[in-house]
Amino acid sequence: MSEIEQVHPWQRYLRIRLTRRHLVRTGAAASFGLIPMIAGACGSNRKATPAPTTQASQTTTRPTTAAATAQPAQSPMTAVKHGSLTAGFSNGSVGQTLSPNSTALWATEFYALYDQLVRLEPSGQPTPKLAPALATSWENASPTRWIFHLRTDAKWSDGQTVTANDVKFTYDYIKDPANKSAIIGRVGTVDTVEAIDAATVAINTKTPDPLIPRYAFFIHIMPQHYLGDPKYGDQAMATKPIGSGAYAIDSYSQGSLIKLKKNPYSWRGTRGVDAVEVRIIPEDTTRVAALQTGEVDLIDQVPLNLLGQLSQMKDRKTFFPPPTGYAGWDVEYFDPPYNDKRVRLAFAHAIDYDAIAKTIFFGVPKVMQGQMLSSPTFGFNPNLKPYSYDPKMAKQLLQAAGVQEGFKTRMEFRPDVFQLQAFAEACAKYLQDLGIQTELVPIQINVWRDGLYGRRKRAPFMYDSWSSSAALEASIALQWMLSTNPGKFYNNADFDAAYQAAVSEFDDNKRLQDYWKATEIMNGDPPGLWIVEGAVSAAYRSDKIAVFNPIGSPPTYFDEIVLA
Amino acid sequence: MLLRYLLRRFAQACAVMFLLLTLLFFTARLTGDPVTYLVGGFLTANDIQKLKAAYGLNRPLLQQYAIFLWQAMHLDFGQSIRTHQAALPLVLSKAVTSAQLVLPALVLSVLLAIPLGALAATQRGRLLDALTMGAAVIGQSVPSFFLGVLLIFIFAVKLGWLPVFGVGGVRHLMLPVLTLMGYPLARYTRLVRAQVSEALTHEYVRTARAKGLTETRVIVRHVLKNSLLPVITILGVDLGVVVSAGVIVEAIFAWPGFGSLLLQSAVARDYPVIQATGFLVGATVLLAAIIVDLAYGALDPRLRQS
Repeated sequence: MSEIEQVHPWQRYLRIRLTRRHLVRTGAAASFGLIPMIAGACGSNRKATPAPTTQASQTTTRPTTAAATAQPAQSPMTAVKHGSLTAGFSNGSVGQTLSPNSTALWATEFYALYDQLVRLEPSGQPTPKLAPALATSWENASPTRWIFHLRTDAKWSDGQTVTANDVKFTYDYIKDPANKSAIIGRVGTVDTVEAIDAATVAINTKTPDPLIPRYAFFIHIMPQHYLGDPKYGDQAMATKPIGSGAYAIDSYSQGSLIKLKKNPYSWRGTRGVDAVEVRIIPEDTTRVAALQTGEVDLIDQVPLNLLGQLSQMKDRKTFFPPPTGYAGWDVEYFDPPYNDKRVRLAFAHAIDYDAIAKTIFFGVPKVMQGQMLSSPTFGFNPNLKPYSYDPKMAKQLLQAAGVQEGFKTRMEFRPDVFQLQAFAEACAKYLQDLGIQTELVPIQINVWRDGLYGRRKRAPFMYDSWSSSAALEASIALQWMLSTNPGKFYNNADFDAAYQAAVSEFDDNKRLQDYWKATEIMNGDPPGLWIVEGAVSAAYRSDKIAVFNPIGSPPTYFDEIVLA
Repeated sequence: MLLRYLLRRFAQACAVMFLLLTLLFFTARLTGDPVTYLVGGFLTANDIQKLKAAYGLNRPLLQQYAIFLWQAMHLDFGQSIRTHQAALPLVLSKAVTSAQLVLPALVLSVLLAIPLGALAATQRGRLLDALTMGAAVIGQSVPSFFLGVLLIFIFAVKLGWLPVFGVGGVRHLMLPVLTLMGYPLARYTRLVRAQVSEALTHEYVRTARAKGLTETRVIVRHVLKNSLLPVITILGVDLGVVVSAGVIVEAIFAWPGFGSLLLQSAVARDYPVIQATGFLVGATVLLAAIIVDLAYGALDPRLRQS
């Protein structure tokens, strides 16, 4: 019997240093489970089942290839019902301030306040395509030069016209480290930006980059006359921003309330709800309670164990935006014995992915299919299958690699992420069955992020959830595995070559083949364990909202929401 | 005399603040810098170095410390790394919001605990005493996150009487203040009961009764006055405890006070905000200690003379 089996469960819990936030979350979640029992007032806590996503709205689809020519996205509504909406969002869904430079989050309010050159079409499809926004069309003039043609009717919320100079200014501002923009990493391949005329802008890249239009989805175009004016600058943008999005700021209380009103100058017209109040509600249980009482109409980040409470209510609908990441582990690649791929493959076959999906994550997510990409991602390889749960083969692989019984390792996990502690304990138990003793180490997000960027030595296993969003294709996740990454996750020359071929390829079909090749290489020499897809859920009042097609969680386009 | 005392306490407070700020400066930097928390996406080591330079974090630590101390002396704690807003005004604005919870909770706790504790002491061993002490034990042992969620479930979700969360009028205050009151109310009630029980055995109480005073007058005029000194002592100390409990209560009720600001800043390693918060909390606790000392003098002439 191994050491973990001999230890009382409470002793195992005591080994894990709980954070206050974790205590609140766990306690609150436990309380909400316990209270109905005490009160005898609630029905059974039945297992959550995903509610169907609302019907896709009619939107123009656009090609994503080079030389794409696009028309403005059509409004999904013919008859608009006016009204306001109150959303209750978690801390993780809103920016630190209203300035897009303050965070790399895909904050929903940024997509309300600002325009981007492109946006993801809210089609309700798992892999949304790029749609025109501030740019009506785009083409690549050469492998290192993209041309964007801008709308001529776009105006800032103070009435001034949006021009190509604003686009150039935005990219230049973000690129300059002195401006401390949190999204500097999104413009890594951009070399120079030229305003060719008032409505045409060229982006020149350092190397051929077919993904520039996709990355443009994350670049919120900011006003040169405001952000560039020392009288205002980023401090003014933080609280009283000027944007060209469908909404303008009405009032703002940092960390508490964002009130949005219609931008009277928006080229998008009067579509969508008239006014939005975004209430920031950090605690999951409070957010769910607020939706139950009708104090808010829409919430994000519903913990899977609380979905049952909402699905019992007639006028509340839960839904699952397309997953953009997964729950899994980065595994040490360079140090022995992990540098032997048989050891990492043994880990991959030692874990019962289905059981984890069903027991830890309430049967909501799909298991990962032997790759670090979730299924809606462009680049996902459907030919790969999940690693089989085969403890016998896992033991044989370990023995072949010379790993002795009683080998000790460590797993770093984030207690602030839903169910991560239970997930880590389950994985540790599977490794224990292989004869590996695992110490669980809780780490805060800042320590975790230092690990991502290679600024500290990671434990042999570190929790990870590489995002592979629909917007950025497979590259956003795969780029971290390059051997040149200072974070040092992987070192496989064949993978490097396949990745570089993919991100230099302008033809979608060929690029997809290159991504598939890269994922196949990783499947045979895995730098991590990819276990279940991310299970993000949200909920709304169906008596208040008729049409709601979230792209992810976030962003939600308020101007695409149709009220009931 | 009083002026000299105050000057001495002020000098002590300055020394404590210096030590506190020094400790805050160095401990905040123990686990690393905020750069990788703030940025997103793929960055090269060179990008990270440039960002560190932009934040002034590549300077020698002692140089950063000297700049920090100089600015702190001028009550300038710099800009929040996370929000790019001036740190001290940001913390102050959040502290005002937090005070809307903490002060009513403390004041109401004291105002309720005194009669409840005194009543329990005078009814010692009887049903009322047992009920009060039973409730106090529960109040001290129930964690605030559980109490908060329980109150939300009953009064907001089930009965629909009060809002679940947020800032607004008195109705928005009720549940978080009640949650925050749980522990101090129980603690003070037990303390007052113990003090009053002990005071009731003193001879001056017998004398007061022998003079023909009513029991209420004996308790209010003689017993309580002598029993409140420990409560005031604890009140000064508890300010920090209640502010800490407020961090959890603010999170549960989405109350935008400085508790959530501090948590987010600590996670983001937002040094200016951490330092400004430490300064504000330290200054408040030191001020409260001075006020408590002065209150001692007001309540007890013996202390005033010494």
